[in-house]
Amino acid sequence: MWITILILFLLPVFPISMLVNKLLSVLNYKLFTVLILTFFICGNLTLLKFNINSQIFQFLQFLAVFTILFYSFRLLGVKNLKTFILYLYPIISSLALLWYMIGGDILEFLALKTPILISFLALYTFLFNQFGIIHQKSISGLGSMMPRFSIFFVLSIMGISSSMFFLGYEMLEIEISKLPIVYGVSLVVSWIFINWSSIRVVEWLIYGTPNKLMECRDLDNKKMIFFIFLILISVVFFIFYSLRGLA
Amino acid sequence: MIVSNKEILYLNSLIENAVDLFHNFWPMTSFIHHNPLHGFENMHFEDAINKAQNYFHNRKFLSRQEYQEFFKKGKIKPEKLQDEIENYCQKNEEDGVYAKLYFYILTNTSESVISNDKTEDFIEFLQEKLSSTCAMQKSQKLGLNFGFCDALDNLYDTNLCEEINQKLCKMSMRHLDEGQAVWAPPEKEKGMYFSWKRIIKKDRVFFNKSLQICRILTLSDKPEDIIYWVLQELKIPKDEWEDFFVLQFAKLHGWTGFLRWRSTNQDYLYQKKYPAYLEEFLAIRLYFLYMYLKKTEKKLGYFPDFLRLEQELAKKESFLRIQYNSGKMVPKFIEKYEQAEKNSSLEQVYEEYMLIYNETYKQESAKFLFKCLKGFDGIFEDYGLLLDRLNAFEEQEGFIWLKAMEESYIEDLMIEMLPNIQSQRLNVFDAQFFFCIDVRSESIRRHIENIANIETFGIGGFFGIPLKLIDIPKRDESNLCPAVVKPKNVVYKFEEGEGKESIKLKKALRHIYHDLKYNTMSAYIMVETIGLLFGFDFFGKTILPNLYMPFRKKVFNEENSGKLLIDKYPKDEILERIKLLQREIVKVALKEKYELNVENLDDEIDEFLQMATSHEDVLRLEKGRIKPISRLAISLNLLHYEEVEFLRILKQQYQISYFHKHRHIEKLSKVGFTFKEQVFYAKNALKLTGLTKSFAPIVVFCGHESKSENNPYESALDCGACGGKSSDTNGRVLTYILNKPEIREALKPDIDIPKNTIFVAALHNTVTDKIKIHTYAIPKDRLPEIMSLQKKIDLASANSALERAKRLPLADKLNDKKALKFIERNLHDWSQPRPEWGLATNHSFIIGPRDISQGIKFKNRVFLHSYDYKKDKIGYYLEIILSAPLVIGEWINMEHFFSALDNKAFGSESKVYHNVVGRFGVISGNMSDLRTGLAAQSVHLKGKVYHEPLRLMTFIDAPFYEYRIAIDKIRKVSELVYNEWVKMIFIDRKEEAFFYYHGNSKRWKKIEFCKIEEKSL
Repeated sequence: MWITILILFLLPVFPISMLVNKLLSVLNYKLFTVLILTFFICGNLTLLKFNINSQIFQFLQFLAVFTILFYSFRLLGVKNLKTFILYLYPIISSLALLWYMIGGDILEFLALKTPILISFLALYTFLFNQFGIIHQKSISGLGSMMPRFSIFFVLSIMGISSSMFFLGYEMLEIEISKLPIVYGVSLVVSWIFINWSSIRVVEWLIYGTPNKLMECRDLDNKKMIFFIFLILISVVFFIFYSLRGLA
Repeated sequence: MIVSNKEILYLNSLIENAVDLFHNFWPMTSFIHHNPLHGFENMHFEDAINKAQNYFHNRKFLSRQEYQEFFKKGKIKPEKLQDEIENYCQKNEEDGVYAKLYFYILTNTSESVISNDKTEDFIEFLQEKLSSTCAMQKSQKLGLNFGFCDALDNLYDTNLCEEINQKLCKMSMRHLDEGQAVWAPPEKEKGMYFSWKRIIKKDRVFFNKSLQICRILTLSDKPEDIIYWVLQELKIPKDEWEDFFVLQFAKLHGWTGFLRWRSTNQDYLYQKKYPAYLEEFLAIRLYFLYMYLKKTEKKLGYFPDFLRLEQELAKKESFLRIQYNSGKMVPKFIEKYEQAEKNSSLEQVYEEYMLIYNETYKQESAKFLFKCLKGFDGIFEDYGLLLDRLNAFEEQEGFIWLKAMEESYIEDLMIEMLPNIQSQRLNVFDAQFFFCIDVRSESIRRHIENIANIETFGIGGFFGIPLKLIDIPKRDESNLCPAVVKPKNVVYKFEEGEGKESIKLKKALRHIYHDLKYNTMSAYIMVETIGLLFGFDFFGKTILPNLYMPFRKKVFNEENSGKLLIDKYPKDEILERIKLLQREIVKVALKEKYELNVENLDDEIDEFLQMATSHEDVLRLEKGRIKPISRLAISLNLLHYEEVEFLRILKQQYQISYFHKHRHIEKLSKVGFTFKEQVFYAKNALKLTGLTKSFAPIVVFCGHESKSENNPYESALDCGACGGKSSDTNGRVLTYILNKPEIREALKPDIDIPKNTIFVAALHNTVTDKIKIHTYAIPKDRLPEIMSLQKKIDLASANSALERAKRLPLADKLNDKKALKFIERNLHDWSQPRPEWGLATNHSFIIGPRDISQGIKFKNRVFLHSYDYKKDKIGYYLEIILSAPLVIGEWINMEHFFSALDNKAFGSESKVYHNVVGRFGVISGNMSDLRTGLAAQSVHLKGKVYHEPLRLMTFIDAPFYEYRIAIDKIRKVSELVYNEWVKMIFIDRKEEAFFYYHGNSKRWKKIEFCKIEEKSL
């Protein structure tokens, strides 16, 4: 029982996600990112000890799919990067639950998602440190002012959104075939919304005319190496698990 | 609602005034360099740039960093910069410490500030000093600075401007297409407005029968009705109508420019067939504006007309909205704003925001002051005043840098030319070459003069002989003269050297290929069956362009020089030719209508033709008559009514009538040049450049062109004096004329051409710098001389090409052999966005004998026009040079100036995103305004400015006091000089001084040669 509550808090689904988001939104940005990451990892690790009750299995599956669809739709209207992360968090959490419920390997999920998530949150922290609020109306055109940052940001955000569902060849097969058709269609629609929102974020943050009065500092060499390392780890895991899936 | 004629005239006059600010855009097949701010030339240069920013939202000058780079490279002299700053301070009555501070700021401060504890302390100190300073809340008023659509977008976060632009772009691309699209809009030939109406009526979103505007659209064919009605509905004050129109046109100034050109060129084929006018364009724009506003009305609860909008703008919450929607809101307030907006309580948070806004303003001002004062040794009492003055200075900074840079260049040019001015050279030459004044001729002229005993001259690339070329093989018609000139004479070019059968076969193959490609069904099959053939073409031109492309051109005979028809037909020959043509037409008509093959009836046909082309109605249907009147009808056994019917068909369908006959006579009369005209143009060309005696045995008129693949801007690299075409034909025509003994006789005694002097034409390819002398018209006994000259020229070409190659990226790191190969490849490489630099880096125009510029390495940056004032006593030829070549030079210079300065607003950005539209222009992406300026690759290098934006510095070698009047006589030139669009300097050998028009003091300044000599030491 306690494990179930803990999981639902660490990997929140609707409506618990609204409470968790409210709590996270008032925190300062460093605590915010650290907690999201911690909740995510701890929640996934807790799933290893989780024995799902068959009675709530169907209901939980429904909630997970609904949460993904609900927040992916909300992502479409987001203008603030912090809000984007707040909405993305329940989506990834629900995906973790869904993955677990269809018999997926949690450690595989963690291996594939964590480096990209760390990268994305670290970039958010870096940006917030410089500008404070990262809003569509206050910042744009970072591509020309901070090219290094922009490259990693684009890779991270696309890595999060596009690899949402296609973690590996295996997952593609399992995911679609083991779920009822309605859920499958909802996931595909959500995937489109998430990708579309990510592209919109990239559009306003990276492209556009930069405010020349903004004083920007791009990633230095040390930070660049760190992000390259994270990206490489993700790629290595991706290849490893894809080959394993094929085998 | 029908607008009265008076109102129509009034609206049209306002529209004409409004579009005067926009330059014409010529189709890209003959790219004409133009000044994007041509409509502002009646204003001072600085005022023009300030005003233009209201319409084009362009940047006014380069950034400080860019100028600092020029300063570091020594292109801006410190003393010149100091002079300009001192002028500025004198004008604004600021004391010396400010001049010192400004100089310090310009040369030392960069854009960014590195923060540490000390800087924070000082910034805090400054913030305290600025305690009484507060941000001015700029209350927005509708007008030039803040247009109607911009106001709506900023207030309500709509995207009105962009959406209306997209509608207009789509409509323009559709209607103005010149053969690229396979499907045309309905009834395109009835005009753009009519055709658009047919389509919009089927649009369920933008056409609503219940709306008055849609009823007007249905009932009236006049675009002025819609314009007038919308203006009334929007309640725009009548005195603001013209500004309103200007702002509407400015949103799509590319399409405006093209439509403007089309509406003033009624002879243009596509304008004749598919007319389009600016009032139609405006009416359509206003229609969409109104419909979008109607949609917005539902959201807002009120119709946002002009008066209502002004009321809204006056409200406090509007300031907050504009700040938020335009991205200027202080970031920490954004969330609060969003919350207040949801709760409709913006007025309540307004005061809070103003506090934060002012605080932020003080912080930013303090940082700004810190940047300026850091490291400066000076004391200021009033930091608020200092801040105001620094802000005002920053507004003028760009112009100060520009003037300092120009002064530096002018001084350097004076120093370089002075030794030449003070000495004279007399020589006898083996050959003389005439080149275009184009900057690319500068290096080849220098290398030719180094290699051999050759004298070179510069003249407008059309060689003073304006003509219209009708190229029969290419089915092309173009004016080979400056855009400001309308040619009276026509020259025909025929294909030669190929058999008729071969030509027919090639034409047939082209037709088949075209039909297969554009047919919906066959396109698929074509890919499957003959797709692989295109693979060879693709492979060849991509991997082995240097080998494959010349071979391909040879196969398709793409470089046939052709035969020119230059001499005018006498009148009787014209009449005879028309008669023969019409006779053939009659025979064809008889075959088509009556299936009759007519032979040996020429006299009868001629008699019938006389009836058909008579001014009076000679052959009329007589009631009851059966027997025919004409001998033709009798011979063919036609009845009377049949001969009358046949006459009608000839007039209506075959264009055999009095009117058409005289039109043919008029057209053919224009073909070629009369003897008098030939003498006139020959005399002009030689006198303009001062060559009236001491002719060399060989005189070459060298036209120029550029060749490249996959380049819509190819004609921008051709001769600007020939309307963006090759000037080869003009050279060939002039040499033909000058080789005629009777012409040489008529030119005496002013111009004495020896018998052994031969004139030849040549063609300079500006990509490879190769010059090819045309040998087909040369007598055999002179060929060895010409071949020997060709060898010397080839060597000079290679040297010149190497010099220019060093400025091309990638080629600059190659050895000589590889660099030449690289240049050769640029001719054929379809992936090369920069086959040559073209006219980039141009900055000066020198009018005078070759003496003053000979031997100086101008690095292809100078227009060189030969001129000898001693042979032009009354300044007549100087006026010709100023009124045409100088004006064209100024257009080219300004085009490069503004495209380099702001490639987004005035240029056409990267070629990578270009798409050809309608066969006349390019757009960026799949839908955008027509791009009218130069591409980024033509003026920028690796994201930085390559072409230095400088106004054209014009030097005239002539006595100032006698020849200055030439400027004042020509209104356009005096406008350009006194409004400082060009910098004018006279080289007065008599006075031993330069006379230079100085904008700061608005008078001519005299600078003695000795002073310049001192500076050079």
